[in-house]
Amino acid sequence: MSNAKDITRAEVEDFLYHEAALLDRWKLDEWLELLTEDAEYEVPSTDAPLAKQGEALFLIADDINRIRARVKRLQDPEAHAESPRSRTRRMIANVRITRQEGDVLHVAANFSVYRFRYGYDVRHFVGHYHHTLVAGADGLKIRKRRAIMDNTELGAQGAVSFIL
Amino acid sequence: MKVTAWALGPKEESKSARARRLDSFLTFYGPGGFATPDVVEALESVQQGLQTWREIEWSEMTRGIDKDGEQLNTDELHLRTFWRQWNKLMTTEAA
Repeated sequence: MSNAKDITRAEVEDFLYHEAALLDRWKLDEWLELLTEDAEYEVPSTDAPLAKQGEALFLIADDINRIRARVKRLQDPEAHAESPRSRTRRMIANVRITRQEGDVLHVAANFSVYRFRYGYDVRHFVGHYHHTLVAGADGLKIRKRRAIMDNTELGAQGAVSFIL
Repeated sequence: MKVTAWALGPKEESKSARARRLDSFLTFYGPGGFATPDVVEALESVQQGLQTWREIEWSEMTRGIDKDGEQLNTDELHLRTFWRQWNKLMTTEAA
């Protein structure tokens, strides 16, 4: 499974659904295993969805070290925004393989994520992902994960305190 | 509670200084930062708690009050000092 050409959209969908299920179940350590050693996770600001890291302020711009720190932080009861944890439910749809080169796949997908938490109205995060996936000996891994929100501002969402 | 925050940078900032400033901002501040969402949550929880002001007249800030020596990070000497000074400024007659 090292040639990205042999990978079908259905396999990519299975992978993304598995990823979404891990995140919704807060199995964050297992989720980390889906990432490459040089993985990046980005959420650009809502008014600069195409911005480049280092040039504009992002909501989240993590390298693998900060992704791991984020996971550790989210498992700490002193991370008040997610202690107790919110319930999230992710709908992943419109999955497309947009480009492939060697063992690398570029994948676009839409997301619709609901966040429920005691004392809050339901919060809804809508947008699309740009994934860079790598096909390796032990299946697909995520090299880059960019979640681009359609919200024009974050007033109704408040924060991105979980992994989007 | 709605919080509006701005990240300000100098006009003539170099490319690498800008990247460094933005990166260090994100480790702490912002809607996806490591601290801001928790700080906002704490603010909201405090506001919720303060709704009891009719029944509970005092906010207790007594942690560490009996200690002569060093205070712990969780002790509240700094809060008592802040409010003593606030009280002094608010109750002193203008000269």
